Amino acid sequence: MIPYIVFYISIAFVLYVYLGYPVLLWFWRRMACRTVQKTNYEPSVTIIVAAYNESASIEGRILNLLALDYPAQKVQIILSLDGSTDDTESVARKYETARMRVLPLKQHGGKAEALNSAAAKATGTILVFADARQLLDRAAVRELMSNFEDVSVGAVTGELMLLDESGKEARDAVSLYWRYEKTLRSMESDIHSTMGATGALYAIRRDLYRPIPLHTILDDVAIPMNAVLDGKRVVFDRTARAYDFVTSSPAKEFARKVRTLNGNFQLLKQMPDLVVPWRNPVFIQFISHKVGRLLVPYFLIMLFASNFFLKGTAYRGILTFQCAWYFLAGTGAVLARRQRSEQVTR
Amino acid sequence: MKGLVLFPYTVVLMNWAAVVGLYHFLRGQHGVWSGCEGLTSSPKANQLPEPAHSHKPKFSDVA
Repeated sequence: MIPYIVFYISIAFVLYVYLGYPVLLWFWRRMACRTVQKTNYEPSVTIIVAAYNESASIEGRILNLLALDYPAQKVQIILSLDGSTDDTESVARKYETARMRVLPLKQHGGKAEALNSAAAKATGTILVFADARQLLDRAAVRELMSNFEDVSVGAVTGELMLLDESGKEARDAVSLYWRYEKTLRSMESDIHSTMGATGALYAIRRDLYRPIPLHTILDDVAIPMNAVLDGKRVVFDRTARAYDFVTSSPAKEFARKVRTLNGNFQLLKQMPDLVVPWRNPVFIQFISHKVGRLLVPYFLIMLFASNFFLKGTAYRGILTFQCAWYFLAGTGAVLARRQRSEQVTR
Repeated sequence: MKGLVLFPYTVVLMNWAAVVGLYHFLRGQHGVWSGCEGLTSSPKANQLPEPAHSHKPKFSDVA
């Protein structure tokens, strides 16, 4: 009896997280879509870039920001250098003007401290956060701002486009996973809010910015989710784009994912209100998307283990499917490792 | 064929990442700048595709 209970609970949970939740969002959006009416709104903005030892990419980052399509008199740029020990600061200083400030922190205190320090010096109505590595589409800030005339919008996240070597959107396995994620974000955004932002590009009203605790890993989730807890929306605008070139393998994506999921556990500890239904207006989405993902691996293990104790054609079919799935995954691991070693020898 | 094996591998790896993420969390490892190195290469401006919407440049004129 116990294997049956474990099996059905596990399969229901896994199917809900990966399939049921997207289907729920799809119906929910059809019934209660709240699309933001974009306008030609041009508030003053402060673009904040936190960087640590980015001497190789900081110049390209600055030039990219200076080339943005947005009225210059309304833009302040703050490069917050988190105790960099290379020549990031000297490169950045070459471009320093009244509108582009370099804010070097003496000690390496972490990204959260760099962001908090920069936000304290910001004068723009809207804070825009961008990473040091990715480049922005020239219209990216304009597209983000066009959402803010709607007073229910507290923060807006852009889209990070992963490009392949030819400059087109990448279509490998990692990118497929990303596109699935972005589809969820888009549906969540149309209903109320997306669960966080992309660190490559997002914006928040300055009066909604709350300093984040030191050593926060997911600033791009913590900062927007504070706006959600304040009753505002966080919307996803796919026309505001940042670009990155994929040189990653699933193994490298794994390292990034570990950091993200580590950050999600930290977030639950730092912001317990997120799991309180009457405090978090997107409680169902948060539990389904963020918390569900943290628990899925344990349910997958239980599903696999319990399946061995069940007899019957249907159960054997599911067990065969699971075995085939993990066999293919194992083959993928061998293939990925071979590809990596070929790249190294080249 | 490659996609047929890399997709299950990616999904399994992403789930395994949740377990490793919990391990790092319990160990109190919060290296915020780490974990992303080498994931992507910094793009050059001339490698980017055409903007989603073209507008007359303004900020660049002054800068």
